[in-house]
Amino acid sequence: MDSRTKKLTSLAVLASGAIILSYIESLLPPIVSGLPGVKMGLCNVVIIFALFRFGLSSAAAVSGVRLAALALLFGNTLTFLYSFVGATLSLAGMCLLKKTNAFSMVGVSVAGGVLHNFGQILTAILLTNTLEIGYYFAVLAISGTVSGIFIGLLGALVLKQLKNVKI
Amino acid sequence: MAEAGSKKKMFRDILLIAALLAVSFSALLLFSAFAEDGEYVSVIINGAETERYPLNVDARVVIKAEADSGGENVLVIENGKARIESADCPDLVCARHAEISKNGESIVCLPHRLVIKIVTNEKSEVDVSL
Repeated sequence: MDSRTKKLTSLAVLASGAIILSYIESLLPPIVSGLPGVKMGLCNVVIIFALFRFGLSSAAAVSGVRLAALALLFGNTLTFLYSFVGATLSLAGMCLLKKTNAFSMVGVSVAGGVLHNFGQILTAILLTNTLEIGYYFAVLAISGTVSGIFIGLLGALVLKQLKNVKI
Repeated sequence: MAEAGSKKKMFRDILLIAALLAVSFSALLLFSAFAEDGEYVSVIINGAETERYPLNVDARVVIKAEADSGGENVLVIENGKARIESADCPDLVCARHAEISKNGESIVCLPHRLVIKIVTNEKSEVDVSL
């Protein structure tokens, strides 16, 4: 198999993994009831793995396919916009932080989690024209940081396990 | 060499995490320390306030937001607290939100561009649009 086909296949598998993880997470009960937006963000394990293993363009492709598929399957334009802003900010931030080479996967993932939440609250503020809901970002930033730690540790584990697997 | 590098990275990770948690927790603490019990629920659709209800009168109001996805949210005021009981939006994030009663707290229904917010005074201030 030539390497381009191989890479395409690997990314397709990663994208389907990310879609499934998002779907499974949507079925689980909320971690903290009454606080919308507080969640694990499990699919970020796949995105951050793609970023560290293949680089930005591959991670962006996986993230884009995930967003499009979820929007087509379960969402509407609004939920798509909502997650698109979050996912884009998150990936851009993670890529920049990775480039500085100052942080491990955990630090990169934490930044990604918090930026994802920031993107969502920003979208909410713009869509509702109500600046005051921004206070809720404090809640989401804590959630994003804690989830980011777990996702980063998990991502590092996956990266290590698959180090010698040719994909 | 690689070991030292990864230790340095771990230290920076912890610094980043500690800074983020410190800032968010202090923001939350500040917010809850200064937040007093609110007196009114303000209903804001698309950035403009449409109605204001007193928190000390139990009520059940159907809010019509006129969005593409329908646009009915049922606001319930009970025991000085407000919540969205049900809605016809697709995600129901608003209905899952905990009840609110402190000044400044809010519940957002994004599909309907609706925000309900706790305020202290009866008269509406000038609405600020972004």
